Amino acid sequence: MSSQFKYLRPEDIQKLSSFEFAPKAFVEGYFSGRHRSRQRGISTEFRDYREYAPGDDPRLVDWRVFARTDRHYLRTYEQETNMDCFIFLDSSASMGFGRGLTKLEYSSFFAATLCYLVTRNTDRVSLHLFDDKVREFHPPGSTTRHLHHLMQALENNHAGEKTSLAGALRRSFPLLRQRGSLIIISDFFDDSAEIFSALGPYLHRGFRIYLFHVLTPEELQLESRGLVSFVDMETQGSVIANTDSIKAGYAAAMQDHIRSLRELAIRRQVRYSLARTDTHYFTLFDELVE
Amino acid sequence: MSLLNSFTLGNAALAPFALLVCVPLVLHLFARARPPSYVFSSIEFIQRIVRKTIRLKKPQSWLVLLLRTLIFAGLVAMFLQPVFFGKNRLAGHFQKKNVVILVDASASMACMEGSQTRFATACGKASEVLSSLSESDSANIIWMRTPSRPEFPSLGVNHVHLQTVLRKASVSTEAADIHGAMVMALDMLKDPDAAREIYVISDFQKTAWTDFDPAVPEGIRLVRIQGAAAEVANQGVTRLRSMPAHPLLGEDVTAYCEVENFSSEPALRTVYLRAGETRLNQEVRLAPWSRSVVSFPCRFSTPGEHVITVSLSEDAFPLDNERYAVVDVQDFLKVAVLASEPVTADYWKRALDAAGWARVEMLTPERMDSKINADVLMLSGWDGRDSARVSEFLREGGMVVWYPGANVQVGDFTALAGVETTESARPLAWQKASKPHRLKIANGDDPVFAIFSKGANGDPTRGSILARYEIEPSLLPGSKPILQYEDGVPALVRVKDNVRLFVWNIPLQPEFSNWASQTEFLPFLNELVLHHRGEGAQHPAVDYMPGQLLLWQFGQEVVAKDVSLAHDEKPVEVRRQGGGQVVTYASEPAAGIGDYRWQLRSRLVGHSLVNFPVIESDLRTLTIEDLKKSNSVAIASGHSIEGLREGTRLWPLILLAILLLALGEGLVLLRAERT
Repeated sequence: MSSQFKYLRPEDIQKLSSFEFAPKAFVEGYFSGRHRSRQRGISTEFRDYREYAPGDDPRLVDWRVFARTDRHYLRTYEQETNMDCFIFLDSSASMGFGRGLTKLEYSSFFAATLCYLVTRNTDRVSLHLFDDKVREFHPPGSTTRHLHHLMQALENNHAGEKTSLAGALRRSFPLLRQRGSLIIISDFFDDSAEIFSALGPYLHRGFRIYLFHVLTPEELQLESRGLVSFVDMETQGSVIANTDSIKAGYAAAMQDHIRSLRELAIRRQVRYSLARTDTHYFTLFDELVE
Repeated sequence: MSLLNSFTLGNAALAPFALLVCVPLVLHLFARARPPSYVFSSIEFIQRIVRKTIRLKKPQSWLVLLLRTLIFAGLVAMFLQPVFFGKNRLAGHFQKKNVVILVDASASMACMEGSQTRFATACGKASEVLSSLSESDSANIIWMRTPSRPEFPSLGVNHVHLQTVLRKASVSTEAADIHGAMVMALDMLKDPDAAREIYVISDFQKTAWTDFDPAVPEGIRLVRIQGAAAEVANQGVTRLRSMPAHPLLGEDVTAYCEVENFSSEPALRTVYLRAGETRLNQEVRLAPWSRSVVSFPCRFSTPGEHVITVSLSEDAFPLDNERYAVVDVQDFLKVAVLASEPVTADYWKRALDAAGWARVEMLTPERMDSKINADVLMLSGWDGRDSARVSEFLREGGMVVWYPGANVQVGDFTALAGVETTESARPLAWQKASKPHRLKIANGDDPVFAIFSKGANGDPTRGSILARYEIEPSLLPGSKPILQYEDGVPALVRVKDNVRLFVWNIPLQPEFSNWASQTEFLPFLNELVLHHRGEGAQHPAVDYMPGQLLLWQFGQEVVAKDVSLAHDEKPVEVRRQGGGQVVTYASEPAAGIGDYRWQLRSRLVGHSLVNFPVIESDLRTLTIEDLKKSNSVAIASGHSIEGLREGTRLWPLILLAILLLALGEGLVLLRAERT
């Protein structure tokens, strides 16, 4: 496939041609296929027994078990289905930060490549562009046309207003009818507790969640610039500080923030990855395919 | 304002650049006001850190700003070259100056302090004062001695000569004529055509300088430079005298030597006496700030003047360790007897002639008008009139035995005795007794009675007296009777302790008394004269102070070449002064401490003694704080004159301060980085 999109470069497509993207995630979809579904259905692979409940299809009752135990048990099977992948891309103003490659561009490259990989395997991918609200929502699709739409959307995307990941997640929840993998790409300059609170319903529904924390090296370690007036890209607020004086404290605070996010993620069985913009976004696929 | 006046700027032209001190402050404020913007993804964490550190950082920031401002101020100040003068500022190099330097050359300046004397320190300081003058400045040195002597008659510009004089100068053994030197200096600085300064360089001995606070005319700067660094412990011989001063040949003499400890520490010293061939020594223990008297027995075998010398073992200040005195040994006593009442006079003469050691000369009342040349004066029947010569004789330490005459008035009697009475016109009452009076001893302790104490020489009270003067005890208050009548009337009485006037109230005429015919009369009279003849004057003519000219008088027949003066076997120059019947010869130059021998054609005619001035022995000095109490400038010897004249350049101190401030800034920044 030749590409004319900004974030889906031909050389990347060429490199990804031999890339076998096979996430272990359990997904839910319309097409039986490569991914196992947690939804029990018609399949050849036995999963478990469960006691009959009114309304169940009597055809599923295992009569041999009934003969032995005199009780009605249903025989359930694993159902193979296609994968739905929901990508949440933070497009707030802070994502516009970065020297050379901004965080948003870096994230867009990653998202575009991921969309390509998902659709290549005939899985469905959905894209949410948000800042303090959901600016664009592309429902899941797996066609080339759908992929083109997503690429267009990424190219047209730009850093917007304030971040409110928690808000965006809450608003998007009703839009997602089917479980799948939830991939959130953000700099997470938001309240961690709020974010995980918003992720609660998704986890409850059985979403597999991946957090990609995108940060530039300058954000991790302040550059020595002496006395400067820091201007917030989102709020336009400013604070005067000497980078040399606060450097160490800032680095420690960032590490605390990262550690806090990582601990919260582990506690909720959410996959967390730090995505430094000075490393290639291909490395992030390792987090998904492992 | 006075503090500001103490400073001046070496580079005053650069003074406007002092405004550069504000640069760090302005830079700081400017940088604070418009720092470069740095658009950042989120300032949430930065704000949190700033909030957390601002409490600590803000004071640090202000401290750093302060330190940097001070460093900058220091750098600016270094270029401005500030000079500190203080209140003791003297005329500068470019100002014309007239300077008189008073250098204390008194004996106390010979005291050793460390490796050099106080005088050497003072000369060094005087040299420094001279060096601080420019070639056109006029100067002079006055040596504070007795009397004070200027180096030039008036101010001069030959500084080289003055420097040479200072290098060669030596300390004297004299006391300092402080006021004379000051008057001389003020006289030299009358002309107000230049800045006028008087420098007094001395050890400022307390005994001599405590009251020195001269009125210096306006426009003259008086600078006192303390040349002594510390108090020095000293012991010295402060007095030497012999008892009696004029002993008879073979008579026992006691030399009394007074040794004083001028220090706060007790001392044990050895005192040596040299009297002719006699050498004696004694140890003396001296409490702090005390004096002790050491006595040495001596005896001289030849008549004439004998010099006795007392010395102490060596100490830090040796000048006052030696002292001299002359003992005038006589081969007989000169007794002059006034024979107004011839019988008594005759008894006296015969009794004294019999002793062998007295040469009696009979006086007539007319000869009483001239000076009495005798050791003892015995007045028989004197009426007490025209007593000036007798009073003079008594003042000089002579002994007078007075048997009052028949017409003596109470007033005349008491006047000579030094007693005031209201009954001056009344004649002294003469009473004949129907029953003989008996004598009795009034004061057994009197040395007159020593030879009678064991009875071998009889009883001096033996005899009968049929008449006497009725001298009421009230006429002689405070008197000490030696003999008295049994009814208490004085028979022989010493009128006063400090006057050797004896009133004789025992008639010797045969019709009134048989006392003179007693065998005890002769030894009694001899003992009376021997023991009460007095010390005599301590040869005032031979005692001199250092710096004085030694004088000796010869008759006009003596030619100058025959007169010589020697000190320690070395000849001393003498010159003839004046003319007339008596010619005075004086030593030239003034003499130092020692025994000087006057000779006429190689024959010793007498001694002149120069002893150390006692006032110079106490080496305590006024402190620099004491000196500062006066209006004049007072500085210690370590203080730089150049510094007073040209001020103290502050740039090294400022540089040091800058380095310290930079170090302080570094520490503050280091601490800020760690926190």
